[in-house]
Amino acid sequence: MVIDVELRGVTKRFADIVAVDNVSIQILKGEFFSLLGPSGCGKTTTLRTIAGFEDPSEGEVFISGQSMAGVPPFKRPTNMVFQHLALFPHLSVEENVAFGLKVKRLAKQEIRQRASKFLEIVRLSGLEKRKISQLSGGQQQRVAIARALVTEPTVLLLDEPLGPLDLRLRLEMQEELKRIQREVGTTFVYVTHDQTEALSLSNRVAVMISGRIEQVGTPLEVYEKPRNHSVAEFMGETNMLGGRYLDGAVEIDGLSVRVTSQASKGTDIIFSIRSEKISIGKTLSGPDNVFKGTVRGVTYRGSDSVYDVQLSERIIIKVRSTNLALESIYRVGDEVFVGWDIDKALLISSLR
Amino acid sequence: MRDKFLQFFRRKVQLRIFSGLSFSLSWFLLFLIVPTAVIFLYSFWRQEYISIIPQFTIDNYAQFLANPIHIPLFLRSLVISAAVTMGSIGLAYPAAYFLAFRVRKYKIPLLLALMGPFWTSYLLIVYAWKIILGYDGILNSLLLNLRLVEQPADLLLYSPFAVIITLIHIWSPWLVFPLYASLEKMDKSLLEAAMDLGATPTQAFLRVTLPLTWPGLVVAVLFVFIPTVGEFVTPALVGGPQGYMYGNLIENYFHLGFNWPLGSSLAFIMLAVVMVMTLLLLRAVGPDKVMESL
Ligand SMILES: Nc1ncnc2c1ncn2[C@@H]1O[C@H](COP(=O)(O)OP(=O)(O)O)[C@@H](O)[C@H]1O
Ligand SMILES: [Mg+2]
Repeated sequence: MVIDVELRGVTKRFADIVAVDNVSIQILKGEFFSLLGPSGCGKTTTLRTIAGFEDPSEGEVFISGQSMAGVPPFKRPTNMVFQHLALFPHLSVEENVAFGLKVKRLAKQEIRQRASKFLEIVRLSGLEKRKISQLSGGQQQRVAIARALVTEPTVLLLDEPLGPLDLRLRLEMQEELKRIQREVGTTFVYVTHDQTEALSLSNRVAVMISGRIEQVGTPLEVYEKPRNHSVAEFMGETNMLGGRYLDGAVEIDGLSVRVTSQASKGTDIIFSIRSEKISIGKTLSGPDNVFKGTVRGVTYRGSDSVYDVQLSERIIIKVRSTNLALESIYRVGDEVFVGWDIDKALLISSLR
Repeated sequence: MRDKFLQFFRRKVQLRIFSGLSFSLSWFLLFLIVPTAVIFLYSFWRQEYISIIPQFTIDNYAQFLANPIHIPLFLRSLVISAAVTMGSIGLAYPAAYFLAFRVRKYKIPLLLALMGPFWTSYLLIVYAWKIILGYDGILNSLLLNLRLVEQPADLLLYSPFAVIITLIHIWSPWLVFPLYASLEKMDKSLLEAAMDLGATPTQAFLRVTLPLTWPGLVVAVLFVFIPTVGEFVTPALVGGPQGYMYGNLIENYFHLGFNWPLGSSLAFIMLAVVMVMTLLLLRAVGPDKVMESL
């Protein structure tokens, strides 16, 4: 395994805020690696540190094993697709793509060939002479991607590149990105706050919260086996329940919830159970835990609905259910049963 | 085609007039068209002793060509103007660049301070340079004290050099503002994008900053070039015979020479040449881009 990018204990402070906090990650060659986290958690700053626009306050960045300390952005083998694209408004599509080749002073012939090859890869052939302002949002994204790929960087850094697009176009561009990455084989470091995007595109995901990397793993790992409270809470819709562990069950607000746990008797534990792992029905038998409740809120989302179900005075849990039939769509005030198997609940060791 | 154009033009003019002789139009007429028309008219008349005879003649234009000092003086004025323009840009562009790209706080107070000479009287600046460059001036004393010269250099004042320096001092603050405006408007992330793609800071400047602020630069050039071609006060005070300019010539015909028609023809020729140059420049850049930069 060849490591393309490595961050060793990178910290970045702006005056009194710590934007990036002691981050260490290794990104493999040819990998589609995502940095996933809520807005303001330090994703852009991390990416800018790799690109060389920010100097780390502490720690070091390595690219292909070489320390990048003191190496300016224009000498780094990284290219970036900026959050707001930053396409050159005074240049045509082709000139934008050719920019990186021109400043490297390649031969005219080669510049033209390579530019046209990458315009083809992003499927923009025929629009060479257009002005940037004459392109749609999706086309502009493609220009930005082609412009960044054309110089064949070791690493491509993408900062929420699909953010401003509408949903349909976003899905289409996600497919395109996957295809392009397969085709060129460049290492992608992809920043996003959209977990669906990160999970569906990446080989590995790093979950970043408040400047720290909380977990690195495959999409399946970070979703199904969140390492801690913050990751579990950030990923998906989840219910956090906590109480005192006694003999295979937890006592919470008068309910006895069965759990598998290695916790010792009498300790306080917290566990998470995702909304989609809970069954709901007028009648329900089978799951290890079944509780009776009242629907207090409904969010109808077409393919599925999210219900807020009150189980006891203080416990309201979120349940997501696929809308299989009209009869299985519930309304506020309905009496329902909810339940889950004990292996669906994840023990989060610490009680915060 | 031509009829259509004329029709269109007429409708435009009618519109303008019927929209109530807008303030700007009357302003335009009063301060630009009327004086220009008067000069134009005078330039085809004849002077006899102290009276002007309203009789058509192209004699004044023939005299412009015939007198061997007219054209060289005109060319000298253009050269001095060009030097002043370039010198002013050389001073103002870095200042505006620094203000737009490097300074974070107190931009506006700094901008106003940079425009200092703009708030100073024109004559004060000219006299200041007289004091600095004069035979017993500050510069000469400095050179003497540093033993760089044996005796005071007398070519500092009363030379084209003195005219150029003084005019740069007077005009460069006029440039800071349009240049600053166009630099400030530029999206700074474009520079990061350029460097990310491998452009050195110099390449980024030449390939991104300069082309994007080019229209602002053209406006700035016009701001300085147009008024300095006809300059006559500064050369009269610090120029000496070598720094004598075309504007002085015109002034002379109006005052001492008492030949208003000849002065008018010279003035009109200058106006025409400068106007053509301006139009060519605007056309090269694209008028809409220039308007955008304002
Ligand atoms: N140049 C800067 N100066 C001061 N604070 C900054 C700067 N850049 C980012 N920050 C701060 O650092 C934190 C992380 O920002 P950022 O990396 O942009 O987050 P993200 O991309 O995850 O939304 C934020 O609190 C932001 O306000
Ligand atoms: Mg960001």
